[in-house]
Amino acid sequence: MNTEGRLSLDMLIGLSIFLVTFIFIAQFLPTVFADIRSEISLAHEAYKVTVLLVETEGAWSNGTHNGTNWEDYESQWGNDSFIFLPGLTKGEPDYVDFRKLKALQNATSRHYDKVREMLGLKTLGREYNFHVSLESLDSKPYNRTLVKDRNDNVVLDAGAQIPLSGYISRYERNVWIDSIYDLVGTYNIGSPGPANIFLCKKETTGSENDITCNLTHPVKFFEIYVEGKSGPAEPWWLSICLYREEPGQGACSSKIDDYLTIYINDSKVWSDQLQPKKTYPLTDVLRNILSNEGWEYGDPVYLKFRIKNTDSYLNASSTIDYLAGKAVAKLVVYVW
Amino acid sequence: MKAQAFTLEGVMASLLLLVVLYSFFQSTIVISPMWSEITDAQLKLIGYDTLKVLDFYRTSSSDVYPNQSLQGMILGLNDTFKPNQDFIYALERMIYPADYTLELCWANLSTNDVECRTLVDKKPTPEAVAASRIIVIDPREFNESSPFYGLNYPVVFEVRLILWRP
Repeated sequence: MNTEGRLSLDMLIGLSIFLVTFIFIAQFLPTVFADIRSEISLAHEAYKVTVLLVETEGAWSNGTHNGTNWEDYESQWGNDSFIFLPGLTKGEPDYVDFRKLKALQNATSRHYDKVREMLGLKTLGREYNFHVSLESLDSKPYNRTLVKDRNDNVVLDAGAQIPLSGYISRYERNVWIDSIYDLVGTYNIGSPGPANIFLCKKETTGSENDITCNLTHPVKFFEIYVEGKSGPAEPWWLSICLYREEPGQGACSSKIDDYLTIYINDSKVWSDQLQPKKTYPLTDVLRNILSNEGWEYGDPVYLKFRIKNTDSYLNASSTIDYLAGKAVAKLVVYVW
Repeated sequence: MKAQAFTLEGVMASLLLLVVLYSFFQSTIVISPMWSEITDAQLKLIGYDTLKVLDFYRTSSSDVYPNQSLQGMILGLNDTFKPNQDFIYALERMIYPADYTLELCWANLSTNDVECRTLVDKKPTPEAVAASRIIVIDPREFNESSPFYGLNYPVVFEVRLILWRP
């Protein structure tokens, strides 16, 4: 019997098992890496879009002229000869122009493919979808809070519908917006007559206005502007009372003539003399008072105004933060 | 008998090689550094954006630095080097949910040295990232309770923000 062949047969069996398995792994492996590579690439694309949007002013050209004010050429956005990069800044990174935000909303809604192309998300070899939105600082991916303008319209929420599953890359940038008054509502709290304003309900009792608001601590933007007395009538005063539970009809009866006063449980905690044509920024004042009184972030606050003979306005927002003298939000870009 | 031994060795050898190959490709070490970079890049950007937003530019000499600005925070420091609560609120609101350490360094021309103090001291994780911003403050701005009061040169500060995911 020839014994030399036994070694070859053993080796053949072993080698066959190894090769079959190796080929299987070799075929399977690239698909694993392809997925990961594509997800990493998505993150780079999302990063690139945020840089183009919040670090450039944008640009436009029609072949003969050019500039950075692409937002002023709405009628030409769809023309083939008109190319534009929809940058959002006012010439400084993170400092965003409200008009450009609104223009990006319109441009993306009407010319999605062109905007996608201008942002480098649609080229010969690659094609990505995107979504861009301006969100509150406390907005979360699973519970988005969109920033609204003074007319209660969403400022920016444009692009393709964000898919519920699959590889999606999300990048966010903290920005501040010019100007704050484009983003806060102005409500007349001194005029008579019932109305629903901001997060409040206004009622009139005799010559006094009675307004109850359902807010959340910390209050994002809250400011009162006093125009002056309502005619020659005396006296004039403005009281703000803060409660943990919804106050009843007779609540907030305390007042000090000629003063804007803040109370907690009818005890005075802050006051300032009323003066015509004066703005009272109360965002930080209210936050500090509530925090000192034991309110936790996220707790409800019932705020009640009582106003007598005072022609005044409330400037307020529940979506935009006012920090370091700036209207702050985050620009969020999704790419998939 | 000899053939059985040879077959077993061959099968064992191929199985061993397969185990090694499988372990190698299953290992996430190959790709994990890339993931870490992506997360770091996002957090680092948030850090830089936050410091930029909190940097307050005066448009007129009568403007007062808000407490929540970097300048307002530095001007409000006393010997304890504890930032004011308005600044802490603004900072934490912008970096949420990240955790952080805050340091302040400045050039001391009297000693020709760079001095540093930790304003908010927490223990970073190994994945922490850093962002910083340079601020210059006129010496006339400091009040008597400030540790920088009495200096006769513009003070260059570096605000360092170290961020990590809790």
